[in-house]
Amino acid sequence: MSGKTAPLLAWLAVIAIAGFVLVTRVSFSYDLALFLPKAQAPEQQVLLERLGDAPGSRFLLIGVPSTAQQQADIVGELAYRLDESALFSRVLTETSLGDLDRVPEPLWSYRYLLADVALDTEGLKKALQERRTELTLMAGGPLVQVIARDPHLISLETLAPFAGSTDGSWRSEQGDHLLIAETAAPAFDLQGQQAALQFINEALAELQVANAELSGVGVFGVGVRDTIRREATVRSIAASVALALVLLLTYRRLAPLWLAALPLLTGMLLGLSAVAVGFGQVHGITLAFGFTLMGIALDYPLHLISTARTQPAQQAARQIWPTLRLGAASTAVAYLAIALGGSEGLAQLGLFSLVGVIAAALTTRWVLPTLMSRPAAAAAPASPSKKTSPTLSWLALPVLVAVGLGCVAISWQGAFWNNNLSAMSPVPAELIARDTQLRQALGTPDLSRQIMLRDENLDRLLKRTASLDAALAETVGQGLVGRYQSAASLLPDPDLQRRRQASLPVAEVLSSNVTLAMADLPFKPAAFSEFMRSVEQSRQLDVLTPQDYAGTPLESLLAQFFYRADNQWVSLISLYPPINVEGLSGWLLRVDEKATVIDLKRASENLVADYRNRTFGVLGIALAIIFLLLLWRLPARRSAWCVATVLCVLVACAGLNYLINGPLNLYHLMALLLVAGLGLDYGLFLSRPSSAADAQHARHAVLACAASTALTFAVLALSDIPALSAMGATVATGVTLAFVATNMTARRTKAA
Amino acid sequence: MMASILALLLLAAPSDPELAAHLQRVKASMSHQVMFVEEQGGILLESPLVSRGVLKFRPADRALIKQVNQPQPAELLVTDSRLVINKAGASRSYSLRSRPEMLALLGGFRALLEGDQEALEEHFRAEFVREPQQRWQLSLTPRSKRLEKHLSLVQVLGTGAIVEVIETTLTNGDWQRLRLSAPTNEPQTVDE
Repeated sequence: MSGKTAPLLAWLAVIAIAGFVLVTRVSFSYDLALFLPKAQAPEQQVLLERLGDAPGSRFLLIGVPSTAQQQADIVGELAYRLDESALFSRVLTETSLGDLDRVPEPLWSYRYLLADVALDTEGLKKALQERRTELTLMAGGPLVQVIARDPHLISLETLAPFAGSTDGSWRSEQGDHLLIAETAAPAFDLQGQQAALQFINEALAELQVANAELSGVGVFGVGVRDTIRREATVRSIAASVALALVLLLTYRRLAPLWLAALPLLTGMLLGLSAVAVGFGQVHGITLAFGFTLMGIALDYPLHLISTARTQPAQQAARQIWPTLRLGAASTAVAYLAIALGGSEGLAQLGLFSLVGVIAAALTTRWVLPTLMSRPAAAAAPASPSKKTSPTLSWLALPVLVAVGLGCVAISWQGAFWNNNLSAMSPVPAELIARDTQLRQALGTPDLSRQIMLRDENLDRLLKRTASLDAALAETVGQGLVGRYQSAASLLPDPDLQRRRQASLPVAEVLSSNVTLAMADLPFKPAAFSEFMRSVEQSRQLDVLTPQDYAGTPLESLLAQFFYRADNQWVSLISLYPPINVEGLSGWLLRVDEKATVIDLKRASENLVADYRNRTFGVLGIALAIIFLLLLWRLPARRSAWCVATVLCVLVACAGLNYLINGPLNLYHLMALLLVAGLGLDYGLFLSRPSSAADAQHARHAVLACAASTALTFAVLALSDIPALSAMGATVATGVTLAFVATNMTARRTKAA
Repeated sequence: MMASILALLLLAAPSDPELAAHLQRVKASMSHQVMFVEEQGGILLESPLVSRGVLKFRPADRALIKQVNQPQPAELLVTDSRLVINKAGASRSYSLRSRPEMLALLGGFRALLEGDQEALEEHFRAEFVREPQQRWQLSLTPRSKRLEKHLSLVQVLGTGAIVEVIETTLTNGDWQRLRLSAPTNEPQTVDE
């Protein structure tokens, strides 16, 4: 008895430990960048650094329908309320000079180091006259506070170019008023995004705005999460019901239902805790893909249950174990290949599936038999009949290849793989298009094309940025670019700041200049004492550095142009359409040959292609190892047949899905991996030399496996979520093809 | 107790029928072009800053134009969404949303010109008081929190159907008294 209970106890102990690990260690992340490969080219680096938390990704775009005249100020009121909330770091409206009495730091404190200001009597007089004129146009108000401290309004002048479109109104093509609320939470912090969205919706409701439009990465993220939750719940319930029906129909008993689930659940639990231990946090996509890849673990118990219909479970387990072990080991090698795919996300996915498959196989072999009741037909002992080898037919293989190639040929769209990074996005394409439209209406810069400068030395980079910024004026004249924006005015190089500082007048001189300038003007003598104090304080300041922006409202603005990455400082210059990339690149070579025009769209396409090629490379190696593994355990002819059948099934499956979906993406690739694993499993079991009864068991089990898998994934194929439907369709068609192919070619001859 | 309940009732009153009738009379007498003398004072100013010019209303787009002739010529154009400042040959445009008080004042001024009580009460709580000798006083206090932050009170003073003075008090203590005088007689059309 102890021989039977020992594995059970060991299993329970492992489950308990894994459960403990999960409860104490696991946390989830949704950063897509985790799933992308380690970048090689500098352009790819920029792309990846910014993908997780690009400054624009925190923008929520709000479109307020312009209705009656009476509602003209609703946008202003909305902006005010959002600005007051800690959920938002910035609110940009038509001019984001927003509250004029609150110029953000550090720009405010450093204003006299950021620009040249004429502080002689002439310069002051001119500035004061202008302020007087403005007062006669728009008396008092918030501007007065700024004038008293900054009579040249230099702080507003410095900020103005960053305040969004300076001319032209912020309207969508339907005439909606647009504003941008930048969230304090990064885009992937879905809880933070949800809180921000809720705040906006409540404010809109209070202001009685109906049909407002919301867009942005955060909106998509929250929407996608909600859709995925809903879809995943509905689909998994439907898939489970379908699965249960197939198993009930196949076995006409209830026990197989939970017996089949046990290795799967064990595998998932152990896989998940392995990832938790190995990586600390588990990526959301690891779960989604991982559960899919684990689908193969459902087949193991079905083989056992089918075989155990006519013999004791222990005996059945011993009998199928060599084949099952070989199948699991091959699958594990393929998953190991994924683990080495080059990104943390894939490493997680590989580890999860690898551990899961091994755990499921072991559970099937050692735990399930102890839990299974004696078979109803156990009276009939395993027939000692002679084992025969099935005839392996190679005939279907060319047909499969022809089907695959034929499908691709008739629906050819110029490329077999989809290199567009956004094809992997679960966000519906029309929402993304709408977002692009809104951003264009707002005149935001073209973030996919920028000029990049890099340098280890901060001061040198600041100087290069400043001189390039000055030189670029000429390219606007030449029509190479519409407009451009750099960090030069937010962060002048330290020498320039010191020169400006040195030229600031001492207190007595400034005071007498102000007194002279004020003659004939109605200002109070004491009105500008704050201003004079500010200038005096500016003389004492240390120069402004990037660190001074940390924690200020302008931090994210600077980060859009200037940041540190891997021991290097990076300065980006935004470009506004129209942009002539070739002309600008040529011009750059003459001005600053180390600066480059980066094209993020092209970089992202290269990235996806590189990624896939690398995955193919590793999978090639895995395939070779699997083949060697099979050769070691099986006759060459059978090994070759198994591998060839799987490859031909993959060709046909890929072709069919190309016909259905167009160019394939990463989701299809993952699904094809599962198809490969399942196909190999079917092939191994059906090509096994066995008695007639065993062959029948194997056939029965493979039918149960294929029917349940195909049905489950067909349910997913009907989903609205691109990733789910792509994977669902691929696996459902692939499994059907694999079932037909392996069955057709494994016809058994009557004689030995 | 009774008084405060009464005050609450008055505040809650959706519209004052007397005000409506009065606004119609004012509308009839308002010209699309008036001279003004403006005085303003505040924390920056030693003595009131006096300016003179013409205030124009352009019915086509319901824009308001403040043309200052003294002390220095300059022009302000206020449309639904924008402030355009023309001075010394240069033109600069701002969003009106950064100046909520300007938007409210534009709304109030238009409401007087067009006799639109609803528009007036969009931005303000209006209290209309008649005084002896046909004099009257219309006190406007901001409705929105945002406006309240900048603007405390607008008082419109007049006699009969004529608006004579618009006094604006801002929360920081700045004030502005716009004295309107007889319409200019020159029959000029207002174009941009």
